Amino acid sequence: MLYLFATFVVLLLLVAGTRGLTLLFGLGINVISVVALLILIADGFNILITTGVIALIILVVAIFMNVENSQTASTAFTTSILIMIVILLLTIPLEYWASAQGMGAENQDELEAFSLAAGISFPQLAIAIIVINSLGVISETSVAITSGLNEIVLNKPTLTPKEIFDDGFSVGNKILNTQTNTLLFNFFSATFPLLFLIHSLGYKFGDILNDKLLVAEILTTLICTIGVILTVPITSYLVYRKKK
Amino acid sequence: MKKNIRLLIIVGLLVLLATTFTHFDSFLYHDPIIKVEQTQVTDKQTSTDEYKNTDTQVTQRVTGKFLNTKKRGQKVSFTNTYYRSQLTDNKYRTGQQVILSKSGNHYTAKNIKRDTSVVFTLGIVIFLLYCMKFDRRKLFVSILINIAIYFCYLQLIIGTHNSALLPSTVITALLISATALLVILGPTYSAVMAYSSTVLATTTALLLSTFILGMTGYSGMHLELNDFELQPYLSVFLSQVIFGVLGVILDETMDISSSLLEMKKEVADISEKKLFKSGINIGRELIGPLINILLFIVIAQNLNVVLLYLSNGNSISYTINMTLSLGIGQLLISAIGIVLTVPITSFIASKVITKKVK
Repeated sequence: MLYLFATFVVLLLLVAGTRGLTLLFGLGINVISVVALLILIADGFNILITTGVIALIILVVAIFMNVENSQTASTAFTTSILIMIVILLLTIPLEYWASAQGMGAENQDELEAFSLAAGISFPQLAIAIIVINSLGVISETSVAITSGLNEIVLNKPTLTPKEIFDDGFSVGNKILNTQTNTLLFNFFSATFPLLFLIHSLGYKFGDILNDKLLVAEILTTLICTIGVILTVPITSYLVYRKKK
Repeated sequence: MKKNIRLLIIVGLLVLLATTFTHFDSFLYHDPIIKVEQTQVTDKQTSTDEYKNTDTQVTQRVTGKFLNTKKRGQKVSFTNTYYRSQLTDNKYRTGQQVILSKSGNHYTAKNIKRDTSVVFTLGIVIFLLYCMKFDRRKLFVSILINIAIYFCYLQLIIGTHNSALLPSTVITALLISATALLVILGPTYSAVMAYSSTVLATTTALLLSTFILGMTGYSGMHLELNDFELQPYLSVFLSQVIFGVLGVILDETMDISSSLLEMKKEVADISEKKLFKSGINIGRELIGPLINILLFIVIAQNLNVVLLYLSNGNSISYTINMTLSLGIGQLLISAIGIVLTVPITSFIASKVITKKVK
């Protein structure tokens, strides 16, 4: 594994040069943030508040360290924060409704050796999982749309709000397509072992549709997609307001 | 404008209709389903385990009314025990629909009926797409085709009892990336360039990584600890890597090749070398955000099990070793793929563009 990491570093430096060092530094901060998140939650801190604070740090690093244009960075950052809040507000009632927290009957084998009285609120953790899952996708989407839109706006000095929104959607179309692909393919990656197992356990269609683990994956994918969709109008609006 | 609003109302109504339908669809189920009418806590025991986790075990008496089967309308009650942390068990609430299973004369809770919430969330996505001026048709076509391909893939691995997992994954990956590219870019040079770069970069990354990992005999990687301990371990792991990284690499190759194509249109006599260099410059800005996307997806997917390990008194390093070694391996292979994509795409695109695009 160490060799694999070394290969990655060497290739990164070969391709990206000194930029690669900044990149490694950013990734390092993200990894440290994630480990801090794990320790804090395990120590009994409130899951939602901890996740919110760490998510904020991660977004700052992900956006301000990767984007050189400060105007693009600040718009993308505002967008990401707003999207994060929307995702949180959407996930809390949906997870409460679906009760798709924790692990399922399919995990029985791996759980045998554990004390299940963990003292951690897994319903809250389910919300944190969706928020964390969306962090990378949301920051990348907001940066891509903001920089695409800023470029268009810079070249045309006079633009009506309608034109800005139209441009936003023309930039957004491609990004929406690629991000849904990423989310969908990751859904495939996460669910094929589960669906294989479900088949060998002889579940009926109704059991599959209501299966806790599968529903959790579907909700994650769908809620992240909602975040990506909403990035487009929010960015367009922010760019329009800055322009005014 | 008026037409738009009419369309929106129709879509909104259809979403509501579908959600309402799944709320009342218990007649489609074979298993008995009840609607919880009353819950009563009968016992509560707070205990602290050997790892100093304090949790409360609650026993509740759940009373509900059958919504389907011959007993429709009759009342039934059962007891349910859960931990307040609700890792594998559930607290039942009034109004919830619960699927039961019958053993002898007793009923026990089997599962919560979750289809309504899934359909509603899907409805929000579709409604939002209709609220805005997205090119919905392209999106729906590519998603539906890809889900159909995934369904065939599942049938294939189930039919072959997982014996041909890796070849099936490779074929599926080739098909879904082709679909995605054809729908987004159409049958153009960019699509061909992006496709060949994606295939080449992913293959190189996988071969290189398996070679390096194979040299050390996969030390430090707990391949057997994948989700549900599914066999064959290595194929399951590699299949997950392929599906995970594919979307990101597609994104990257499309970005680089279409930017270079644009550049050629603006400066007609641009040299192959210059195009290659610009490709590298564009590409290296993409590496960081794309690795981030996968980093957070992988962490999120393992969060439950990580916290279970930590709360069971394991040290952070042991926990990461046991629960995240596969995730970290997946990330590293993906990261190598993402980095390799930059020179590979720049090379292919600069060659093709100088030769074919006039």
